[in-house]
Amino acid sequence: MASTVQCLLCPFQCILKENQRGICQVRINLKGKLVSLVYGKPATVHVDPIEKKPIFHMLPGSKSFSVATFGCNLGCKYCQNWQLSQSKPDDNKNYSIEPKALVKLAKNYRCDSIAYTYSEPIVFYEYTYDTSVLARQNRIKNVLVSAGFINPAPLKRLVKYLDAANIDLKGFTEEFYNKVCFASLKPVLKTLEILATSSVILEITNLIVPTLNDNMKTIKKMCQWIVKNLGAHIPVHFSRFQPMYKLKNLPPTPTETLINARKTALDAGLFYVYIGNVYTADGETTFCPRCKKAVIKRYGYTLLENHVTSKGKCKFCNEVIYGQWESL
Amino acid sequence: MIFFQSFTRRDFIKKLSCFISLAVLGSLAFFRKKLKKPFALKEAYFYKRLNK
Repeated sequence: MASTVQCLLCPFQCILKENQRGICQVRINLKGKLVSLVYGKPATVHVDPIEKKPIFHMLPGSKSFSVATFGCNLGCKYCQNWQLSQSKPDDNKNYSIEPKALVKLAKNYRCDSIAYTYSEPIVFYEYTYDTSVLARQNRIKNVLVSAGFINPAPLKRLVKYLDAANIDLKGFTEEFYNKVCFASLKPVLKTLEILATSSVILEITNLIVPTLNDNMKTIKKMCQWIVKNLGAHIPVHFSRFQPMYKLKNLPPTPTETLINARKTALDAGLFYVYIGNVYTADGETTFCPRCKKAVIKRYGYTLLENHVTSKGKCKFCNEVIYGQWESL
Repeated sequence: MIFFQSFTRRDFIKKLSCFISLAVLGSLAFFRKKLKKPFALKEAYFYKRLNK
């Protein structure tokens, strides 16, 4: 009997013969059993400010223990972490840190959260899931930083243990997803809808690549979709592209494009819109949607002022600010 | 002839020790690779077997 298996983790649903790997390069069919090659084998671990993820609406100023393995199920031509995402785990050096040890490390470094980030946590799903369960038991929050290209069933299982997620909505056309990321848009939108209806603090990042996804009409459509389907309270970060990987021929995103995108998003009705990877006035500031006063001021990853009460309200007008502002 | 005449007992010991050192280093490298802990292989949570 042939021992072919089908991975059901992401929408690619790779059908794998014996010894064949999935598109992610980290899941392999061994004797009719699908196994992860990166469980407990992070390629990098780091203590980062939570603002670096970027997560602006959960525990500002706190530290997040960040972890990633090799591999990704997407192939974005502009990947900013391609050395990690497009490498095989067996060609590189990995650490050996089981979930229990990872949680212990996070505690030792006094981190309020563990972030599954840098490459694509969906491809190291089992590691993410097991660590999240243990972290929750140890009162450490879980942050998922992902492209959101996952099937609903595994996502719904993981969501129970997540506290925050930043989903990279890479563009708003199937064409962009197909040609630049080798994926599709529809499953990502489904992921966003699932997360928005859960208790997870959801934030969205849109990295704007000059000439490829910088059309303001499309950005406007994307923001209108977010307002209509997820809510005006969902924070959106417009990130600056730096020439990387296979798109070194393009220039960095002009600051004016990012400022225009922010204005477009605010006009579409979004409450919290940020600009990342470049300094702009107000681009990193959280404004109260009612009194319009600056409630959180940041400079880069540094928190300058915080006027959100521990109950999550604006200190000036008592309006509820979306997010989680108090430790577990 | 000249080679054998000049090949002293001292040279022989030198060559032998060089050979032994290489053999030791080689076997160490071989066993290190053999004994190296393989990747922890965790069974995936979401997949199905296709009995084709």
